[in-house]
Amino acid sequence: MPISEINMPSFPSPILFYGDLYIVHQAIVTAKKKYPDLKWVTKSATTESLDSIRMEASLPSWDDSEKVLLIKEIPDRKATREFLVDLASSCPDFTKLVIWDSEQHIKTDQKTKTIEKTWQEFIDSFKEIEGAKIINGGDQFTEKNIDECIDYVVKCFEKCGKQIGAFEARILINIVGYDRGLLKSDIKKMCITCPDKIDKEFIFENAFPTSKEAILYKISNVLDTGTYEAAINMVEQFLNNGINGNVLAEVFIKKARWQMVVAYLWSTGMPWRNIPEKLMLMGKFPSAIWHDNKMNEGAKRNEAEQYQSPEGIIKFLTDKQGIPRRYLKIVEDKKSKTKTTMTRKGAEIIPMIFMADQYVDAVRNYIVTPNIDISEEELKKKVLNRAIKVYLLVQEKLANIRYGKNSSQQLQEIIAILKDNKLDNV
Amino acid sequence: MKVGISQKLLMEILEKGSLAAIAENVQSEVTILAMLNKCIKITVDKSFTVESSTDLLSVKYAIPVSEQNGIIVKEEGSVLVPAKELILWVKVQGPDSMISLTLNKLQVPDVINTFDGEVNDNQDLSKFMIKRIGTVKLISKNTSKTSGKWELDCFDPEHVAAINYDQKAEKYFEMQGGQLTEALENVSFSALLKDDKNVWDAIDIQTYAGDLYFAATDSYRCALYKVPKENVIDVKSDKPLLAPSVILSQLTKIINKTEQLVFSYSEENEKIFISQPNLKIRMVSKGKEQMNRFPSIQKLLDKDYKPLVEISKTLFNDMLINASVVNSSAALFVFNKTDGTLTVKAISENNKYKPNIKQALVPNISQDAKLVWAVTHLMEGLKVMKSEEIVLSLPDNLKTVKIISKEPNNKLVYFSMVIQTNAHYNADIGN
Repeated sequence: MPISEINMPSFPSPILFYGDLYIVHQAIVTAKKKYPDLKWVTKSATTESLDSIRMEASLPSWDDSEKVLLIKEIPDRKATREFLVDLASSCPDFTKLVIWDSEQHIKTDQKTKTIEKTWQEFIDSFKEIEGAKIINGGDQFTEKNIDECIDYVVKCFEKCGKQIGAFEARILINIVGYDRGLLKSDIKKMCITCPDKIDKEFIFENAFPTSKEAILYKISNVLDTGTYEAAINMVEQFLNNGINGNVLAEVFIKKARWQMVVAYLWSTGMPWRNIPEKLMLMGKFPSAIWHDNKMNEGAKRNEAEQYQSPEGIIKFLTDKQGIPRRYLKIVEDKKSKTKTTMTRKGAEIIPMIFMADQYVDAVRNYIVTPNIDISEEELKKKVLNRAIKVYLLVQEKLANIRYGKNSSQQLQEIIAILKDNKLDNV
Repeated sequence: MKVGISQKLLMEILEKGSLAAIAENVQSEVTILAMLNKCIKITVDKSFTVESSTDLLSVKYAIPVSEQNGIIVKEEGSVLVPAKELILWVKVQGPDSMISLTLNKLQVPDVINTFDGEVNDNQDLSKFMIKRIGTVKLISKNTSKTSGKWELDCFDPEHVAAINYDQKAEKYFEMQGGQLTEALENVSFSALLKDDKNVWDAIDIQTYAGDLYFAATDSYRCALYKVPKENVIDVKSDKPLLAPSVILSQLTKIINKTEQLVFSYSEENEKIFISQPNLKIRMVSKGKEQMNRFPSIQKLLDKDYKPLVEISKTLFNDMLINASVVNSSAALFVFNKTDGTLTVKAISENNKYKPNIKQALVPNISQDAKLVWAVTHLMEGLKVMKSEEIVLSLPDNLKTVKIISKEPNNKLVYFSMVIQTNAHYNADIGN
């Protein structure tokens, strides 16, 4: 049932909400506004006894008014599920029952595309209750269902009468993140001022970044295309919004590091057009597979997939690289006893090709092109030399920030270093 | 200002006059100048006055200046000082001490800027400025020549807007101070501490059939207290007053229990005025909309209830405590007229505990009845019942239960809603 259906003349009951927390929360807030005369009582199925919830549902109000009993924080317990189904099937007319899976037990497994069995049974039992409504706020998006997420962004814009391409939608997701609520709120905000067709620049300008990567893309864009003042202003804006100076300095380090890689690849004679693709392969494990020129993209992905787990890494190192098995051991993280599997943190990668293009274009257009009056051989040396020096200087500034020196001042100096494209200045 | 006053008297005046500055839940807005809400204004002229004020409650306590009262005024004036600090200091000076308060004015007042943000060109910052006009020097001396000295910052008394306690307000009634305390003790437990709808956290005060009633309800139970006629005089209005329960309860700390309290109401600004000879109080009232939503006392009192049983309060309470071990929310009450027994059975959801049954011989049951009642609600109601014998009564629709003390001139009536259970629950509990 779509969320809009709760805008009915009388409040439907019982309702089961599950899925995206932001969307469901918004739906509940809307319902509270839509039915102001109803008294809302909220109970936690975790901290309060089922007896007290039963009493709340069964106790009529002195003034015969109707009330909405919102039960949330449902624990993953069979007894609670059975109780909720029983309560929902026999709630008195004066109590409108709303059950909210705020702990997000009900979610679709990405591999099997099904809901976990016990919770599916709960939903099935709930469906059989007369008048029951089930409202799915949508599963939380992840990298695995990026296509669905893109589709969601496109549709959100369409609802506001705006158009966005899949590529631009993907940029937005990379900046804002996969949180459906944050995406929706950002889209709403952007739709107030955006043109009918949204382009990459508008997103860079207006999307609110929620991760280090997103901040990097936004700052990179300003550094490469804007003025020194514009970059300083953006950094100040981030600092004022509570983003730590340390985080911003790390973002600049990343930028300097990738520029150094671009400069190196170009200085070794690689054509500009091949560099983005090469960058995209960097940081991926196992590098021997990803950098194998004889394999196509699909084959690389399939081959690499089996070596991503700790056991897979050992298999790769022993079978492919010939390292004796006795040299290798999986050491479990003692700090987190609840985790049974290790997550490989992996090297830094560039998630999207346009970001690789961004780095390459910056070196080519902003550093190389203005200095073509010297010989190519000398230029290559100087560009690489500059990139290394820039990287080391930015590292130094990061250290200064960590030693407690004025963050704002250090960041301004970093920007000045990154923006200076005179090869002999650095 | 320069004044000497006995510690005991100063303490009494401070405790009463500073209520709005030191009590909790008497302020709804956190203002920029919140610091001033925690200050009291002391004025010395022909009377020694202490005033405190927030957006919900204002209090003024004044006693005439005279040497018989133990007050010696050398210079009239007014100061605004932090309430809590002054009270703490005065409290530890000993009851036989004489305390002198002297204002030492600064030549040029200090201006403290409380604004913490970006300043726009058009912004008037004067409202964010607090003027410190000097310090109040505190000296205490007792008969054993022990002395103490301290100083407190003094702010400009003009910062506190003068409250007009004598403004045009319609007089409602007069009642004895002690009766207000007793009435609130009997009903306030039934009100919610805070209600989003602004109704169920209030005490309703109104007259019906010539009697004055105090009522409180959280919408599931209701306590109704009748103030004895001899303690209420000069009833001028039969309109209801609806006052926040938490504020009324605070007032019981400062009113004189033997003196008459005059209740008035200003419809214009929805404020209740309460006064005693030395004490003036102004507090917020609930609005008309909230008053309309509060259950009608007339309906409660006129509804026909048939007595079900007369029972010992101790016995009934024991049965409730027994049931609450298993389920403090609900239990089945079976009244058997033929056997003359009352059985209380409690079960818990998902059989967390085994069912708990207690039976007692109770003569004089007038009808068979099987009802599920809220155990905690009944226990709380019994706590305020004065007599050992209580009477339970039911209406025809069995939706509520009425409990009263079996005594002449019973003042308290307590109602509790009956829980409407489903077939499954009824089968489990054997209803």
